[in-house]
Amino acid sequence: MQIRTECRHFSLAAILVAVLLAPAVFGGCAIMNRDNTPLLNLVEDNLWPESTGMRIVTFPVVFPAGAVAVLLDAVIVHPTMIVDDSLGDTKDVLWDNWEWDEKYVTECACLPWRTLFTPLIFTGCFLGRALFDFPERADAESRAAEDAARQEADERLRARVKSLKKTLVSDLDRVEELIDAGRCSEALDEVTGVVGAVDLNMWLQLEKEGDLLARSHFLSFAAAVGCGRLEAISTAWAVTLRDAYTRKTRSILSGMRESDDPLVRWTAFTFGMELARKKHEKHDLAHVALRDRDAAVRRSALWWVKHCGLDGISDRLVADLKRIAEEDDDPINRTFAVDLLRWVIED
Amino acid sequence: MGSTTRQESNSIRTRSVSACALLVWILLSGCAVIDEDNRRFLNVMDDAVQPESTGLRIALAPAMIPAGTVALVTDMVIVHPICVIPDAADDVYELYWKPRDIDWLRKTLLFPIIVVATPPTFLFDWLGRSIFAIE
Repeated sequence: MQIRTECRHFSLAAILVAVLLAPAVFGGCAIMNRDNTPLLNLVEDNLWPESTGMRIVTFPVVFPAGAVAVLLDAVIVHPTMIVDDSLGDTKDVLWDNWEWDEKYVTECACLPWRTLFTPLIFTGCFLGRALFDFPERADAESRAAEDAARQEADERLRARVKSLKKTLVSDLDRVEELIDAGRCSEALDEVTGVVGAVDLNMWLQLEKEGDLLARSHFLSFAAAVGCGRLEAISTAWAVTLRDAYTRKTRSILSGMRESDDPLVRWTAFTFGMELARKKHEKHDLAHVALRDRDAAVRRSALWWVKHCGLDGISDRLVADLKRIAEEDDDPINRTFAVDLLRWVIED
Repeated sequence: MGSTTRQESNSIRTRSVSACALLVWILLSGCAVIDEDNRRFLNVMDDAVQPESTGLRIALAPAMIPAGTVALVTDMVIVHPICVIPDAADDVYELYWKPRDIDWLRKTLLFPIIVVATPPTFLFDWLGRSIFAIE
């Protein structure tokens, strides 16, 4: 009988020791974080020397001190630090979200259960926090607040983009009507104002919503060509044009290349080459421009050929370059073509 | 004398096991009554008792805490388990008894198996629906 009682006492003591040592053994996850080991940090800062030689000499002293420090951190210091967080967790789980106005009896009925489960939930949270490296409540709350603020900002931006999109569609419809009515100069002023009123970041957001930027640039281009204000055209517009507007723009450019005005042909060439560059098409228009009757247009084409690179240049373009090198009226163009041919030959 | 003591011991053990089973049922049934739709009795009481002022709420609490607890436990162990009987029966019907386009030989062969399997399936389904919040 006495032996059985002693055995029972021994078992109880063993369980108690195991429970007490559990955080020390499994506290590994929590004590990996320096924030959870103030005593070990103290030992490290004050007893752990810089040089390897001194470390070897002091190791017999520092190691037991560190072991004691980490044991105290795991069993006493860190568990004490997380009591308030565990209480906060328990409050979140059991003691928030009251509905006294709507569900008085339910809340009354839940009171004993909340009370009953409080120590259980607290113990669970406490052991979890003691063993594993959960983020501190303050950190978690600040992260949640940041997430909420970010989400709110995103929603505000989405709402603004939606409203702006509606306005822009109506503005661009009006610009299109002006172009159709032949009032291109007015249309150009209107679309320039519309585009300028929206900042770049908003345009980037609007790009996700559709092809408004492409449409506004196409309308700007069409209006500028329509009223002959070619200086208003930016080759940067070519970069934003999407497929449907690329086709329409190429159709306008094709007509422009037939013009007697060298400035119109030059504009058609430079804008067309920018479009080709965007589509990774090499030198197609350069062939046409190198045969232009205006020396300045031909020079622009030579610059484009150089700019686009001479790798994989077609035989047709090489023939164009040779013709300019030998026959061009303009000595600069001839010299330029000779230089380009030298690069081709060297390649 | 020895026989009486053994009988008393057995009785205590039986009562302890019953109490434990009831407690486990109550705790597990918590899963079902977490869903508001499964607290029919308590919802009726919520609609009936809605004190406006804080003072009245505090004054009524000594009566309402036990009354609400009884209502909650009643929902757990009586009302909700009774309410899910038709659902459990439906499940068994869908599983075994719903007419299917199969030949007579297969139907005849399956019939005794279905008859034997129906009660345990119903019991298992009913217990599951009573304990957990299953739609």
